[in-house]
Amino acid sequence: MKKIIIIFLSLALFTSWADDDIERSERANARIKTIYIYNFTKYIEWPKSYKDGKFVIGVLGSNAYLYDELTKMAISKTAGSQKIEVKSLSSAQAASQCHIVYVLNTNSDKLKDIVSVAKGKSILIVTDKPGMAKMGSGINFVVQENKQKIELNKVNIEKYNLKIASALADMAITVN
Amino acid sequence: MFKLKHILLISLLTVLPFLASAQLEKVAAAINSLQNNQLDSAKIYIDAAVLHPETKNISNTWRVKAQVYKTIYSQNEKSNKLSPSRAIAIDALIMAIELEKDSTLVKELKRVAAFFASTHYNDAAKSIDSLDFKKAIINFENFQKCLVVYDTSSKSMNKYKVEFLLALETVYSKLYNMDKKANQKYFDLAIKSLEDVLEVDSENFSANKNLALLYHNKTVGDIKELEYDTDIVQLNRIQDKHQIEFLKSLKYAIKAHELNSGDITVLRMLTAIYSGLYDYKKAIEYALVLYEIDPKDKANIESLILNYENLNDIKNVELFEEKLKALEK
Repeated sequence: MKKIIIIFLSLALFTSWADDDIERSERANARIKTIYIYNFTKYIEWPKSYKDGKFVIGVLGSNAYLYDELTKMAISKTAGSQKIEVKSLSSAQAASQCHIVYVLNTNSDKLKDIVSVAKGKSILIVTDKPGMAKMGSGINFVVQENKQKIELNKVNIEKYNLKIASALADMAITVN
Repeated sequence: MFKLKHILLISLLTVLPFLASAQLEKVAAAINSLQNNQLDSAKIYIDAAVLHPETKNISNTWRVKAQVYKTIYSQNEKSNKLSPSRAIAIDALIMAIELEKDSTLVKELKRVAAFFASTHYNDAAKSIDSLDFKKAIINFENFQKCLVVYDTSSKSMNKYKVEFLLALETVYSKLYNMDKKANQKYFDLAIKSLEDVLEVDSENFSANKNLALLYHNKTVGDIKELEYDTDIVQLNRIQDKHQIEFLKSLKYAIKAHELNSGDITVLRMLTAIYSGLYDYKKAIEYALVLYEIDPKDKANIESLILNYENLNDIKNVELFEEKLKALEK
């Protein structure tokens, strides 16, 4: 006697959860900021005396993802003909040799010291906290409508003998 | 219970009184060949009978054809997931059921349909991998064709459909993750599979969760692939696109969280999506829920530190840095 045996395998067993790895959005945010910073090297012009040697980007404060992204960018890109070097700054004084100083949010209280170090030099001061563009920084990262934007204070850039391309000024939020 | 001998006996009894007809003789010859396991000749007789006007509209002819091809499938093609004999048997079976007036026989024939449904479903299940998934799709389509013959409730169909689509999505996602640039189409197919699940069952937790995960990971992945020299004007447009994708992900993650508020992956995802949308307060809200569940989750503490840093909340940055240090000791 031959019976029909009906057995249904369970497909639920085939649904693996291997894709549960969530990509870190902190790294994505760091990438966006790094792209902005690289663009600053193209849209802002430093005086001739700053075009020799390495193009130095100093970071005041710690953010592993950002530092990692900046370092990767420095390896693969140049600022004009200059090699890019990323430095972690231990103090405001260490900013004197930089072309760009990026003051992270948690170190915003050191902005005054950076401004005083930058006097008479050509340093682009970049910050990361609301209100900083009015307190001495040239470019300040802000979030607007869930997007990363930049505020630009022309005076705080040009007083360091830096020239801004109109394309950058046009797309930034102007702060006086 | 369906029995081969039983079906054949009924088939033979149906044919015997009319054996004066040459065509009916062919059906009887097919049954005879089948009983003697002469499958090639059974096939020749029955294939001729189903084409002839005298026998083609009789349920018994199709019933015998289904039985002949079912036997060929069982004996020779069981390991062939795309068995042609099984397909012929199913079509013949459907014809036999359509033409049959005897409810007892219809019941027995539907039982055969259930058998074929199970073979197709199991072949679909066995083919769910990155190499054979196309066979899985064909088998699942055939399974559906058999299922409607013996079980017309949409509940059963939906249950199997959801199970299959979720499994298929896993395969598509795997293929996409193997080579994201070359296999973009599999991302779209994975999304489509999950959307199809939600069409059947909008409250399906796995579909909502996986849609959120797919959109989130793709968006972050796309951002990480951006060239450093992406022009600043173009970057604004790209950010607009990413924002839309993050918001899509958020919609599904919120729904998944509503359906299962304790799911760790969903909580992690909500933290990550809000962080991707630069909404650090909301990111912290979910990261703190995660911290309550598992205070030793270092990745979550790191995420809390970064989000508090973004809010310039030094006190909490220091608090969680201390906690992280203590865990690393």
